Amino acid sequence: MSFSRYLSDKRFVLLACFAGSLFFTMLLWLFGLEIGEIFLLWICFILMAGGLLLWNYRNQRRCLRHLRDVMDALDQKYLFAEITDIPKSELERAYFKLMKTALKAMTDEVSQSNRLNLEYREFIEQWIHEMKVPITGIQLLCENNKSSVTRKILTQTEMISQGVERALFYARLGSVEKDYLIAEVPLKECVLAVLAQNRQFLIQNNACIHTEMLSGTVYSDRKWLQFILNQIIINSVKYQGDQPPVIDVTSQEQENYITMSVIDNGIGIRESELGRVFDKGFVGSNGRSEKNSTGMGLYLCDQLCARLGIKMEIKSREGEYTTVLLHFPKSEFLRA
Amino acid sequence: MNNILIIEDEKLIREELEILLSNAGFEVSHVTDFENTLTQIKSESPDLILLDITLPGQNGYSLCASVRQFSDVPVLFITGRNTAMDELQALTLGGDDFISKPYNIPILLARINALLKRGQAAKQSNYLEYDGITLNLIAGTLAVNGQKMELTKTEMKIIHYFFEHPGEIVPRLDLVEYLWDNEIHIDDNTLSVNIMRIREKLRALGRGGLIQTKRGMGYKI
Repeated sequence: MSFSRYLSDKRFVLLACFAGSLFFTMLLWLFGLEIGEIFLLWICFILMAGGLLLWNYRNQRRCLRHLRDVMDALDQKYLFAEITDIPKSELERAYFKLMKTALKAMTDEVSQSNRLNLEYREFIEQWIHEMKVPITGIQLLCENNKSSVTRKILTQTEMISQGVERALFYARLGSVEKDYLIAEVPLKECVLAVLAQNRQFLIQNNACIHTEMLSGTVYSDRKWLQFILNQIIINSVKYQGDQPPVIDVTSQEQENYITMSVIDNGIGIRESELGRVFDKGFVGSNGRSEKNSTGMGLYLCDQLCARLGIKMEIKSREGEYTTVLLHFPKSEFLRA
Repeated sequence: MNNILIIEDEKLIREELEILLSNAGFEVSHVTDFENTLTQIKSESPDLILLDITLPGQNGYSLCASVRQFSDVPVLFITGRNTAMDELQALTLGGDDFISKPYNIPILLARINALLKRGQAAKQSNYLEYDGITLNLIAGTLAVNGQKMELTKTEMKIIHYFFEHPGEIVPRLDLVEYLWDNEIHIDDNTLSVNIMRIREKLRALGRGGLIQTKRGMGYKI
């Protein structure tokens, strides 16, 4: 609040003062006071009134600054009214009461929607766990009665299973911090598990996957890492080119990083879209043209990587290849 | 033969697991009366227990803890729940391994075998023989009358599968699946190339006609 704004707020008081003093000047002049004396009285009056205004201005400014500091220090800003002191003046107190009522309604609304959100998330998790039972049933039935039909059913089941898994991981995204188990994870083992999970889908798509150049271990959460790898490998097959998909999974050890790269021979990503593939809901020209893309896969991967401390990078040339690089940091004190 | 006890309340999954495991050469039994699970475990003394977590009555965790009081039998948890907490709880209460549904069958069998300390290598001998041709699984060589030929890993696995199914028609897809289960991830075309190379090597050993092609069905030796 600047001083000029403050004065403009007080313009009626100032006007009243001015009008009053003019009136008294007239009166005093009629009583026969000298101009010099009246001038002196004017100066005294201005000094008094000005001093009072200045003092009031400074008080208000200090008070406001204090409130602003309280607000800045607050994590949940809507709890402001609960924290701050009750003001002294009647008008301020009335304002304060109004604000408190408004914020109380807001707090109720927020906690209500938080609760609903949590309930919904728990319901989704529960539901997904229930869905896994029939999916497992179908898988076992198909494995026990192998034919070309059951193989196709298995492929479809793998896709259902993936979709369900993705929903689960999205529901859990908010609580990754509470749900991880960091352990030594051999990269190769992790990739092989992902390939085994999608065996039928990959075989049906004539995929050829080379993992001979993959080695090394990283410290990470196996479950989340597998989810990320799953998305990457499925994408490689989903966006295959004219040739059957060939995917090379390799790893390079650098000084502070272990880098895993997944290179495919798919349709690639347009250069203009490369920067946006991690955006939520982004469906590029590839996704629009043929496949049922949701724009969620890479977004989830990116979010998870950020939480796990993995750096994810995508390089591509349209029509030739896509490379997904995952940089795992080597921890200094884990190595010791 | 190893005896596996399945504790799972979902009937269909239980039945299919039984079929799957007995096909894989295990003796399988299951629990139907979940009130007296412990008595049954005691009377059957299985070599391995497959344990679900959500069960009627006592849940899997506490069941596992109770089992641990009188037995060291390997316990493999199979469950739909897969949070870190579930896994941790399963392992701290004495479980030996943890697989989440929907599980991949080769992985499930591999874990079971690992727990039974009965790996693939121990089960099979290092040599396989068919019609005067010897396959050495350790050295990765094929020998006829003392004449040897080196094989790549893929070629060896393919011949291995043929030798285990003599006289049968082997569909190409079965072969590809077998290779995928053995961590060789190749497609149909690459399989054809490998079969061609194997034939060449066999021809060099004087046995070119060993692998026959059955059009539209697969291969046969």
